[in-house]
Amino acid sequence: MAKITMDGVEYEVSDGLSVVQASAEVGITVPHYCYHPSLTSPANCRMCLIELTPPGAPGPIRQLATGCSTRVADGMVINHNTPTVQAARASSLESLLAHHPLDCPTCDQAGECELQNFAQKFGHDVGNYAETKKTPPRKHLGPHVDLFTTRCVVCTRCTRFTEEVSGDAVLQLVNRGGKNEIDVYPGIPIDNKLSGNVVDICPVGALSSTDFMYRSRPWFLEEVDSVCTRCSKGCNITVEHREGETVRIKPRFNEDVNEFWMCDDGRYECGYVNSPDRLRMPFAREGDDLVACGWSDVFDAIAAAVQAAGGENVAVIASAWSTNEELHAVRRFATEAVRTSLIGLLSAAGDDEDTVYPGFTIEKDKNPNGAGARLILGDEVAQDSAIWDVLRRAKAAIVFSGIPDAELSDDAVEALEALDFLAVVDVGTSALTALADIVIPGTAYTEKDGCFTNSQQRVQKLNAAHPPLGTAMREWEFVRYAAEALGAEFDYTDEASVTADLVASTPAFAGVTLEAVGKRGYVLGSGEAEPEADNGNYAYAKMFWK
Amino acid sequence: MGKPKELRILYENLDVPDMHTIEVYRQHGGYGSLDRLFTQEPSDLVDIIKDSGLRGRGGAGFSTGMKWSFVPKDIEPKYLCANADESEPGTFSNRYVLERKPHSLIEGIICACWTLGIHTAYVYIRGEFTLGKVRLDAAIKEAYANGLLGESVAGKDFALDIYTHAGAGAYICGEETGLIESLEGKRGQPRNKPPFPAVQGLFMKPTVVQNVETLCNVPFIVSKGAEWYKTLGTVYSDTPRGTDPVNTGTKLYCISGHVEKPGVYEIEMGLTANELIELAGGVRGGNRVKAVIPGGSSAPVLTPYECDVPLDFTSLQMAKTMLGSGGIIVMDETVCTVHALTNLLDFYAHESCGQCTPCRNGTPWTRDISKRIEQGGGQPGDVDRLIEVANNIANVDTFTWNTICVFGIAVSWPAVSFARKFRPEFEAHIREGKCVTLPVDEAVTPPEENYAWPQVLAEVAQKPSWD
Repeated sequence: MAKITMDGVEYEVSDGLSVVQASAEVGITVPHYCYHPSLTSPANCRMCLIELTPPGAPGPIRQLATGCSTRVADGMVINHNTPTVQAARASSLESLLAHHPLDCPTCDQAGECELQNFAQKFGHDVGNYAETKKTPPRKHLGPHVDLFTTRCVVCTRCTRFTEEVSGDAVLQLVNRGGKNEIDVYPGIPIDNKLSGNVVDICPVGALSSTDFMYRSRPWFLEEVDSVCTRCSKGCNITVEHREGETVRIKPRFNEDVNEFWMCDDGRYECGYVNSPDRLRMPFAREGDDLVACGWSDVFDAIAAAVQAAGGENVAVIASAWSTNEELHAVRRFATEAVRTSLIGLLSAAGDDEDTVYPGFTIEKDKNPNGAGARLILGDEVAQDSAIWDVLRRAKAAIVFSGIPDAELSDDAVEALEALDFLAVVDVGTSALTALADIVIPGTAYTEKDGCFTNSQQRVQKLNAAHPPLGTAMREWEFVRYAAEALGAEFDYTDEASVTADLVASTPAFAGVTLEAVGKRGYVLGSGEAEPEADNGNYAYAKMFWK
Repeated sequence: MGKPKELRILYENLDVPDMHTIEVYRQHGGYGSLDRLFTQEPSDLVDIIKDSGLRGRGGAGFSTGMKWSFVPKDIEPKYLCANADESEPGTFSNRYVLERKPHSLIEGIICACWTLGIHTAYVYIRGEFTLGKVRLDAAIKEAYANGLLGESVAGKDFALDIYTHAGAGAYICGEETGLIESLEGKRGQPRNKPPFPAVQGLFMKPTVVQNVETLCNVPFIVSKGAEWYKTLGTVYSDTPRGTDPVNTGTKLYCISGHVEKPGVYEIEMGLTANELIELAGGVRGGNRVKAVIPGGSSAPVLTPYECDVPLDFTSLQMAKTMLGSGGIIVMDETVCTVHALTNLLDFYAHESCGQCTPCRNGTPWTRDISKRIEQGGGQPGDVDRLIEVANNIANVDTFTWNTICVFGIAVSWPAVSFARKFRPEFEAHIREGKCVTLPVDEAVTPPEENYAWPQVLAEVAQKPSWD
């Protein structure tokens, strides 16, 4: 810890922080545009100017220092509120706003814009700029990214992101001086899997997401903390939703997992959540058609099928897209209600290799909870193509999927078609539901509570943004009723009760509680929960990262 | 005291035909300093340079010996960058060195590199100096062929390579860290300091960036000694605290504008602006002087009232302006100072690298206000607005800047000084709604009103006698 004095008050702050971070740690907002804690600091926006007295110096240095490039040290004295500092910050802001079009009424960023925030807190009431404003045209930089050039403050966060994190340096400054603009090289759009992050780090409304454009005012969005499902990394995310619709996914800071970033797969390919093809009620097969039915029909059909086939001949296939809780419930359902040993694990097809960028890795395992599934079902559980062999030994099967756009091999189709009875739990119509006798609506990750275990063995919590669609019920609930229909009693009342049951019966999950998981996650076997962090970048993220 | 006269040291034999070739350069004593050089210890040489009082000729006037003493000895490699990106408007002395006496620069580089233990030097040449680059490249080739560069310099156990690099036309690449960035192949944008180049410069190694003129002084100090060098120029004995009183040596004064004989004059430091104008044949057609820019276009302008200020680092600092690069621009009574300022600010608006906010937006802003006043669209309050906007880039009164580099003050100095010192002319433009050129006496703000009158330094320890 370093002892510093800010605005006349002594504080103890973490070592090695920039003044911007240290100030955030103690609750002082230092305005800035170019600085981002995960990127280099060029100190070009000149908003974080401070009066600095280095340790041991008799008085402040004559020139104002920049809070972003100054690291705190024991005995440092910093002033954020001298008239000189205030005037310097206000004049930088006035400069930034000189050419700004003030088109807040039509700007997506309005409401979460640092120009608005800092202008209110640190700016002049009235602008003095009376000359002609520049009006460079809007540019389409890539499939997901547009640049409203007039709004740009040339902080170069985005160019540094493409240089330092995505590594392709597709965004560059062109021209010079007042004509500086962000642009791509001719014919080379920003089209990598991290492109959405440049929209996040843009402190103003310049870089805009074409997916989110004009869809909602940010202040109408409700937020829940969640975890991305698109690979085993388990990026922490915020699901922003409005009136039952998931509108935007944004990365949430977690120093140990994804820092400030996430990939476009997770960010934009959540479209299936709002898809019209989602299942809203159970269906039963009548000839070639699937016909809507009631839940009692579902449980009756399952009970009848299990009885007809004999429990030991019924396969239960769990999904690597299910939460720890769901997997535990499914395992108990298989062993205690169905009484079968034919258990498999359905996974989404992965990549051959991780996708590695200089500052971010997208993992090859495209399942959010493969690690949790192997812990709960056991390492020896049938996986990948082996599950079709399991099905060949069965007469009936209950398959949990929830994997959007899952494809089936000929082998799989053959095995599934040979079954006398197939019940499928899925989020939408799919290759699996096409073969099913009973189709059970599942919940997407935005509709359920529970935990995933990522490839670091870190248990992370997702929270429901919406209730299940239509008459759908959450998987653990469905399992409880299905077990009841088979004569087994599961004492599940809510998500937490399933968690408690999981922890009590699975040694690997010893010590896991929702409190211990918290916002940062809990690494299995680490013994101790990581406390809720409010220092360093967590403090920064809380103050500046939405 | 007689009249000031030229004393050619750096420019000695500049006009001798083929002086740019090694043969002719050697015939006139070129590379003579190397014999002395290699017999001395590098650390002694740093002391000699420090003792000579040589100050950087690029603009800031920082003590060269002091700068060299900051260079860490134990870090390898170290680099020397010769700054030949001479682009300050009104300055053209390095160009003649490159075109006519390039070997003197090479000799200076050899002296500096031996002193600092540097084995690689870069010469960053302004892109427009095509002949200068051709001549310097040829000279470097000759120097290699004659064993003055390469594995063993002049037969000594000392290796030195010199590379030239042509700039692409950016003024800001003359700023030392902008130059370093450009040399590394990046956008020419100055870096934040600290770290200073002497600690982390080119390729993040200790780097010394020196102006061509500074380097050309070094061989003379090496061969003739600090004592000799100190007999040239002016040293003050009574200066305010924090002001360097030493102005030794000659200076290449580039005088241009409305004088009869513009050009480069090498004179001992200490003559006044009026004396220099006289030396350059006086103002054209016997006109009156209206304004004089004393040190390249960034330097605050002088009014006719101030033209008796000696053109040396110390006196001009006292007069709240600077010697800068020694580019003196003389404007006579026909000049509209609003137009002159607009022209200057247009240059700065064009040349701002755009990296940091106050300069990127502030510089075109000052230009636009000035242009509006010139074209008759000025509003009451615009002069104060112009001064305020310029002071927000860099405050000339407190000498602090909100920008990354000193380009900020290079903009606000001319903007604020023109607006304050020629305020009546600016106000007349606004009042009349058109461009009006006032007579000198009416155009200039009386000196007692609101700008600094040069303080005459009380005691002069040494001043050239010109006899």
